[in-house]
Amino acid sequence: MFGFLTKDMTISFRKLLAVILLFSSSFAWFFIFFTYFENLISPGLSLDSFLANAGSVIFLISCVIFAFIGGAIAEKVNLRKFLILWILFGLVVLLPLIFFRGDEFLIFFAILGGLAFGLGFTPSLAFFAESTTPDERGRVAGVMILVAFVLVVFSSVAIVALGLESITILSVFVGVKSIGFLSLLLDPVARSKNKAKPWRMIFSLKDFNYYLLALVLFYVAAGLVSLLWIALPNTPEYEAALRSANIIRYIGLGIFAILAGILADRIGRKKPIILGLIMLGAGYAIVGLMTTPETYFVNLLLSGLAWGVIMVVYLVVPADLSPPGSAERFYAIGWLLPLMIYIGLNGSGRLLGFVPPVDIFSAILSIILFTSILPILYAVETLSESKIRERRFRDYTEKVGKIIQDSKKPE
Amino acid sequence: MLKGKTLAFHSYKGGTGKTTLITNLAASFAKNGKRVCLLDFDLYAPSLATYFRKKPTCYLYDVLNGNVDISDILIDVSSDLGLKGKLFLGLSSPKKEDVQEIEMSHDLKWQLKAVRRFLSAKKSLIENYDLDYVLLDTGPGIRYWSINTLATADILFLTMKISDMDIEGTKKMAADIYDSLKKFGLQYYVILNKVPGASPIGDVGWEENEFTLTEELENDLNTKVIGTVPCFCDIQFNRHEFLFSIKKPTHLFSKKVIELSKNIEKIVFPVE
Ligand SMILES: Nc1ncnc2c1ncn2[C@@H]1O[C@H](COP(=O)(O)OP(=O)(O)OP(=O)(O)O)[C@@H](O)[C@H]1O
Ligand SMILES: [Mg+2]
Repeated sequence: MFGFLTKDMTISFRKLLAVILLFSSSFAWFFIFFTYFENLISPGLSLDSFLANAGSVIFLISCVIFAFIGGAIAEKVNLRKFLILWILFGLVVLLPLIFFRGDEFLIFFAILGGLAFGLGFTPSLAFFAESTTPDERGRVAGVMILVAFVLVVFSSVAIVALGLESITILSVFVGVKSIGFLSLLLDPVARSKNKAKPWRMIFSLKDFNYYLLALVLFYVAAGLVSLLWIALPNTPEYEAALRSANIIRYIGLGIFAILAGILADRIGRKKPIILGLIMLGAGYAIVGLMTTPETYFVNLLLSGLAWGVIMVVYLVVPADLSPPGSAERFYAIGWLLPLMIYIGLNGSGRLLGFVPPVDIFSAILSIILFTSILPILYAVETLSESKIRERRFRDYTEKVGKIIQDSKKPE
Repeated sequence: MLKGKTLAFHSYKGGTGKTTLITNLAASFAKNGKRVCLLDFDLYAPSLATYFRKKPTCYLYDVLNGNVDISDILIDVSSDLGLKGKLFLGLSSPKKEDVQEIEMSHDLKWQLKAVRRFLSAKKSLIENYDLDYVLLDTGPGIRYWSINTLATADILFLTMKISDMDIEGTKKMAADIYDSLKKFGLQYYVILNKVPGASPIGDVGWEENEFTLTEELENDLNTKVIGTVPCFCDIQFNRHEFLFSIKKPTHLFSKKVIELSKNIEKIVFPVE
């Protein structure tokens, strides 16, 4: 059934599954934590909005900091044992909630949540990078994102269906997190013993910087966007648009993640990134020109699809560029630093209660997004020409083969 | 079921001896009374026109474009060469402009259409000329027309030298292209050409590891090595290296060609 995706992959099925489950379970956990931890910590009460915003920001910052720390530790210790401890910690970290609840613990749990997600984040991506070859990497990353969002959707459905009771939410968290253990059962999850390249060297890689710059601009736009929505009128029409877009958005994000993965393996990494940035830019241009619930809906949809594309390709590029043993550092820089910018913008805007004018703001956003294409144009394609050519000819061979087969049939 | 079989010769690297072997084999089949058609599908660097010193008015490319019928391009060289059977040639234009046109100006759709045209041309060719063999010479490596040619063949003969580079490349090509054509019914075999050992005469350095190399190749490529042809300096450095097997039937090379043709015959028509 998934033949179109997995054909000519060289990674074994077990390893593929291990790579996917390790990342997807943890990434899904991150999303549901981000969405629900406020309900979890002060159930029933409507949290003071300043505190809620502060909680989100602190969680994200904690994720980033512990991801750097986790990457640094994982470079030195046995990866398998490290991951086991990390998942175990993630399982128990929220259990104290049974006893301690309330606003005063929000910050404390936000930090712990960041710890539980961040530590193993770059090592699981390094495992992905070292287990895949360049011409299957896009598709594997696509499946990783898709599976993560399927888990997010299922968890959200379960949480909503079973009620926002803290025990329900807690058990969903434990369930999602423990999926990570499966990958350790499926695979030894060993790493190459190569020494990581110095940070200095990674920061001075020209092509990596081009990709990074585009992502930074993307995050600047994304950070500003989240402020934009505060400025929208608070009417039932916009609410309805948000609700219906959100469902389609996650499905679309998953589908586009797979599509982006297939494309990335077929025609290279640059074109899908450009496509994603254009989609997002177009989405804001539309809202800027005309702010209605309909354009808002279209924008939400386009941005969901664009996120799917961007996330996948940016899982792939650090793996393409990193020498063995250095993947953690490439992901720390390539994924987490830009994320800090998003957090900074979004967080400070919210905390300061900044309400921007929609039309000017969307125009700025589209300009930023279209500008972000420039560095990509300068960057080198990280999937080599010969790989692209190879695949083109492999596909072509299949086509010709089918023609020949058909021509033999009538006899 | 048509009795005529289509054989293609291909290699990863250039200069492995595809053209040399296929022409000599074609002549040798025809000399034995078979009806043979040899087509130059090295469209990017055709060589048979020069090899046979012929200049037809239209070429294979015109057939692929649908401008002429394949019977219009065939040249019968059997009587020139004094062959018992028949040898027809279908040539490609070595002119630079024509080669460039094929290389540059055609998209996927044209390629697939041209394949279809060639398939039906080949069918009528075998029927109308009552052919035993259609032999297709190809260009090296993976390009549209090497894939097209291989795909239309029944059996593929991979000519290779025993250099590591050639061996590695061939393995990769087998994984990328041959194996997927195998699904559609293509069979393939290996011919080792230009193996050392013939000159200086008596140098046995190669025979010592011949066995292990052959076995290794057969394992890696999951096929059989059906012939080994030594390297002869007098062939390599001849100004006009024309049909040794006809002109010098007693040459060791010619004997090797006959041996090879018998092996191929056994594979192609196993019952006879
Ligand atoms: N067994 C052999 N001994 C010595 N020389 C040989 C032998 N086989 C081929 N050659 C020589 O090697 C050269 C290349 O051969 P040929 O043109 O047949 O190769 P090819 O595979 O058709 O090359 P291309 O890929 O360029 O079409 C020619 O000069 C030919 O005479
Ligand atoms: Mg040739």
